[in-house]
Amino acid sequence: MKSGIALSYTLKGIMGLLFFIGLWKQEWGAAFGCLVGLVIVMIPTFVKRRYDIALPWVLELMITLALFIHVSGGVLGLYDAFVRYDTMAHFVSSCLIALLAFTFIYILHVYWDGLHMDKYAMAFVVVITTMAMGVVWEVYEWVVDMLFGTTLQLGLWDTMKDLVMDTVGGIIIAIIGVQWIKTGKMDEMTKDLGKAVDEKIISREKKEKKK
Amino acid sequence: MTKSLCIIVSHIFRLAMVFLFVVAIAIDNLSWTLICLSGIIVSAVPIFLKRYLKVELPDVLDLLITLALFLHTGAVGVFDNIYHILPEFDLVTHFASSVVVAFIALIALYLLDEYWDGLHINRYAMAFAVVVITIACGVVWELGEWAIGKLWGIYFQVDLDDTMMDLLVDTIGATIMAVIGIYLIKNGTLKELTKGLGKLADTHLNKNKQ
Repeated sequence: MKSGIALSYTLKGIMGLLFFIGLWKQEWGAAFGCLVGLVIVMIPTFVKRRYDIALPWVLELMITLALFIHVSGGVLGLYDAFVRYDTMAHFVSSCLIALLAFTFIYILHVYWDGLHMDKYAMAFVVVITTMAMGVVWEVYEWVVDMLFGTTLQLGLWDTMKDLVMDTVGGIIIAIIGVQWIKTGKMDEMTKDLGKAVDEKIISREKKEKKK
Repeated sequence: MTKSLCIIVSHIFRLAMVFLFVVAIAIDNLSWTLICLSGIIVSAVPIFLKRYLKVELPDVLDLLITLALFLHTGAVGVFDNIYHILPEFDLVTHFASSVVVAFIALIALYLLDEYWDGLHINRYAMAFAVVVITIACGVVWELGEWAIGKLWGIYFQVDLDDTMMDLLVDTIGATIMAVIGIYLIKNGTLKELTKGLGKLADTHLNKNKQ
């Protein structure tokens, strides 16, 4: 756990460095992307300070890792240098989405009246949610390409490969998640966040309804 | 639409498919013949389920299935080389299929929610799950087309634009069905529609408990 947090901070530090490298190379687009990435990875820290809600450390590490891969790809030109880099980035992002989905569903399952779910059903929903988010992403790329004449989508082959990677990432996280539920690790990790969600959203809503 | 009318219309679609099948044989078009045949076989599944397994699908679902199959078999034949003449028709069939898949997903989720301990789900969460399941099925479908193209050189996927449009239409069909689904749950229609299936689901899902 501690090493995970340390790793996440190291990656954030490197992202800060990458921003200056981007400025030095005068790649303004990449540098700006880096800055946006930095702001996003600081959100968990900000939320923790301001609202005292700690995200599960795995989730925080995953967010940082996904953005780190994306940003370093942009600044250092790794997307162009390695053919497989884009596939790898897609895989890590889909793992992140799957982990977010699993955490979200699990917390709803534990704290919300509207959802009680078997752990295998949960795993199924995580896989299909990740696949659906992959579709949303691809459609977004397609629409942007159409409107602005960019080439985010490289072709049918590339898009199909992305969708396969999304599915694989979803399945891997779903399997890991089921193991975490079985061993009680999931409970432990989502305890902080779950309680906060319960206190600040779910219970408050109930009270308002009672009034 | 009343119950009997649904059944009559879906039988008309079945007959139309048989008619198209005969036409396909007459004009000696092998691929169309095979597609018609598979359409007829799949459309017979609800009848088979009812007769031999005592599984009564809702009549509306029966109608939707035969309609989607009819559109598919009709599309291939009547607009042979359809992709050059009328690509929009492919979107119509995709839309119909995604509505059917979404409806099946809705019924499955509803039954699991009612009769299985492993799932209790708020109806809006259910609508979300229906959309997501249908989109994922669309992805599986496109990946299947892609894999068949790669393995056997039979290309169903025209190009990227076509595939993205398919996925978009799937999403729209699923969303519409999900919204309708929420209303069907609210006014109790879904409960009534799935009465026959519900009993069956109950006996199977709760077998171990008794």
